[in-house]
Amino acid sequence: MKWRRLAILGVALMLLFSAACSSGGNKDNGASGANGSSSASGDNAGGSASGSDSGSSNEPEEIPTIKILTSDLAKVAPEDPSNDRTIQYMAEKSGVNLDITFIANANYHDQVQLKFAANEKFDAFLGSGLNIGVASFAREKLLPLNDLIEQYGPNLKKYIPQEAWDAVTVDGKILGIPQPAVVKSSRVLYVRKDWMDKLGIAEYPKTSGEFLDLLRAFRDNDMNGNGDKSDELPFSTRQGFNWVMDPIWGMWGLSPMGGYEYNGEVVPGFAHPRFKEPLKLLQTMYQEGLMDSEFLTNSSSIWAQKFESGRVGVLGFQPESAWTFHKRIYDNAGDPNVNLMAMPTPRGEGWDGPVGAEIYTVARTYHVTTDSEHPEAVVKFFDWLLSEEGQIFTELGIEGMNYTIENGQIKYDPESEAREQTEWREVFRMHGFNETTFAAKYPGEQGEKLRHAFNIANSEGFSSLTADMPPLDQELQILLENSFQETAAEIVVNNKPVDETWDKFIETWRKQGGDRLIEALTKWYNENKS
Amino acid sequence: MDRASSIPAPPEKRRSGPAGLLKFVVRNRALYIMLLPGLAYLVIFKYIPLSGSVIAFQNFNIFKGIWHSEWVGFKWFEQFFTYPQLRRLLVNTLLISFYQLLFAFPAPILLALLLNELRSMVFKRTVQTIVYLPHFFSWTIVFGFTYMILSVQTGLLNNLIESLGFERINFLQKAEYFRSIIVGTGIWKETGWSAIIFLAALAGISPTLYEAAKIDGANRFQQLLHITLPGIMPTIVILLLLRIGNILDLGAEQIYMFLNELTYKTGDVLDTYTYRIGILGGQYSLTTAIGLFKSVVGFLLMVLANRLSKKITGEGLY
Repeated sequence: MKWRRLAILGVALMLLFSAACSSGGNKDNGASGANGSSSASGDNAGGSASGSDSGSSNEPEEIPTIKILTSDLAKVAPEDPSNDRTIQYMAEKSGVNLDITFIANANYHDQVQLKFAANEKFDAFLGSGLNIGVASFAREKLLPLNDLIEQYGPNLKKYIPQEAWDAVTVDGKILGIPQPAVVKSSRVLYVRKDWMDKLGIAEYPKTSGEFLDLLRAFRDNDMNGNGDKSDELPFSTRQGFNWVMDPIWGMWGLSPMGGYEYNGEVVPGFAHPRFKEPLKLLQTMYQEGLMDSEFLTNSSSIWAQKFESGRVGVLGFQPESAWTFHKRIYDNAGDPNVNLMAMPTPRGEGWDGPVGAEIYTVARTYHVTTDSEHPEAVVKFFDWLLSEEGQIFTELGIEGMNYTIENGQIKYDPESEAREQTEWREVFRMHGFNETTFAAKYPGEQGEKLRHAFNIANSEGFSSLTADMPPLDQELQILLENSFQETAAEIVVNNKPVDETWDKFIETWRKQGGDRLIEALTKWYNENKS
Repeated sequence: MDRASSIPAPPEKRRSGPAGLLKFVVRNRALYIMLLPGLAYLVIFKYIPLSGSVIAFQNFNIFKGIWHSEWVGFKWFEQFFTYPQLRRLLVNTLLISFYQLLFAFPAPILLALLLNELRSMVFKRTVQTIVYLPHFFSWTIVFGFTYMILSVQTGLLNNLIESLGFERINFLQKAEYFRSIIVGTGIWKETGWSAIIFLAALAGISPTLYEAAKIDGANRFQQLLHITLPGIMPTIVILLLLRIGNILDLGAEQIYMFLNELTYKTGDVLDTYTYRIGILGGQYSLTTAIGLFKSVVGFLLMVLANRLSKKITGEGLY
């Protein structure tokens, strides 16, 4: 008898254990836990906005709580969310109770996908536009917002330009709230202006030929003054044909993955015959020693070490980094003259169209899910983020904590962000360029460098015909993203004849499926855009 | 252990048939109950997830789940087998695997034998600790070391080559060096760690055998040949067979770290290809199909090798 009881007990325990395990597993996928995500909730205690009585649960005016998934931007997320001052401030001002889950930035999209797959309910989540990342996989879960924005979003309508709305609209349905990009062209080239001054070169190179001459001058002189003429890298980039070299293709108005018209078809940038021009430029650069010989193997950190030590003359990156990149070199290179400036993209020889880099209209998006019980509260919350008050808050923080007002002037304290652990606040910035906050946040030299870069980026750029295209069939996606790099490397490094090699590669590529990809791109374009 | 299991064993009638089995089970219930958690673990965490492999035959959509995704038969296998670079992938995978079997597999055995012959215990322990340390470095760090040595601009080896009057060599960007670098860094990182298991096997050889051999006049080398090697042969065979079962697995981590556009030619293997297309757009079905293919090939090879080994050496996995 004792045995039987023990046996039953054992089996029961086991079942319990396994049940606990599986539900524990679900929870991991869901609520929080797994990858260093933390849940934050800023309760609007007392309900300052609509004055409802706390305690009565079924009052019609009860303040709704919305659950938002967002990224921690690889910064420190609030440790004690319910008491976090910044979250409480947002909740109080917007009149919406917030339950925010911060997910580790590195695998943000995977984590949100898992939450969808686990059927977890949340009101809104961060995306990167309709066509990449999690939003592209979850199209059917996105709630159309047209009426809600009409009713609850005066600031949204006022501050978000039409082209940003267009990027999140499908068949007339607005499927998200977009943050308009701060600048037009998404990448710029940066040059060591102090090196140019040292050589007495006053003007930025205007053509690809002048660009080569500038790099040659960097190569032939001891620019960093350490007595070694050969340790300078006139141009450096990382991880092969990474986006940081976009402005090189951009000299001829192309982006490798973008869609362009050629012979009545829409072809990816790399399959356009004009693409051979930047390849020739890169080949010349590599063969003449103007290009970092390790550009294929440079990891982000090795690349950073190279330019931070003051060895690199020209590099590409986002316009928004004009100050931080300058400062990184200035702080590390041990040269008081360091002056990194954005430069206008040189015009590729033989090309008279737009130059620069692809224009992205949208920086980030938030989407409301069809599971949301209070979509109007979500729209209200984002509407507040775009109000004058909200814009100052998202960019500059809270008065007394991140900035003070002296004589009517905002005095921003950049150190406060790390100290108060409020760097994640950036993830709720929904506006583009705001003169007031910009002036307060970037005084003096910082502002000058950034404005210079922004001006260049705003005067450049070109659009891809397929920018708004929903994700392709997986098989075609591989053909688009994973094909040209190897042959391009062969041409640049091993000095293969450009025209011959590239034409042959494109011919083979088209036969092995490229034709189907081009057909799909063309069909989509004809049906939706022309 | 022996005693515990012999006590409840039925001394006489061991009738066959379900009734007899049931009785047997009831009699030994304590043992079966103890077995349950282990079995449950296997079923829940190994066998149930295994059934997820069916998504290789589906157009898996994470929102529809396994139950509602549409079935596409062998579409993904077809796509994989018609991939224009498939030949290159397979050749690279098999060649690197083969080189690893040839060079990286015997390395720890050699190291263990060498360590075993050492007299000074202090020296032996010190060396052992130092050589297995690299196991704990991640591949990112090992790549960092390799870069410091092989970099064409700042690498130590290239500095040496230049000071000897030769041209600098861009080791990391040349296809012909790729496999050697992979096998070499693999040996550097894992040899010390893998030697541990052989050292344990060596410790299990009875000292009386060595004494007897000495009395018979065998020298150190003869002892090695006739006592030590046969003593660890079962361990070697088992590890070799397991390694053959994994012949198509090279560990995406290491190779992906070293791979670049110019070394695809000799270094792009199944695992890195799977990783690349897997991260491109969550291509769960295609990558599962490739995984399944790898497992089946690995399993067949292992069965084959096991048979061979049983015939030749009398040792086997089962």
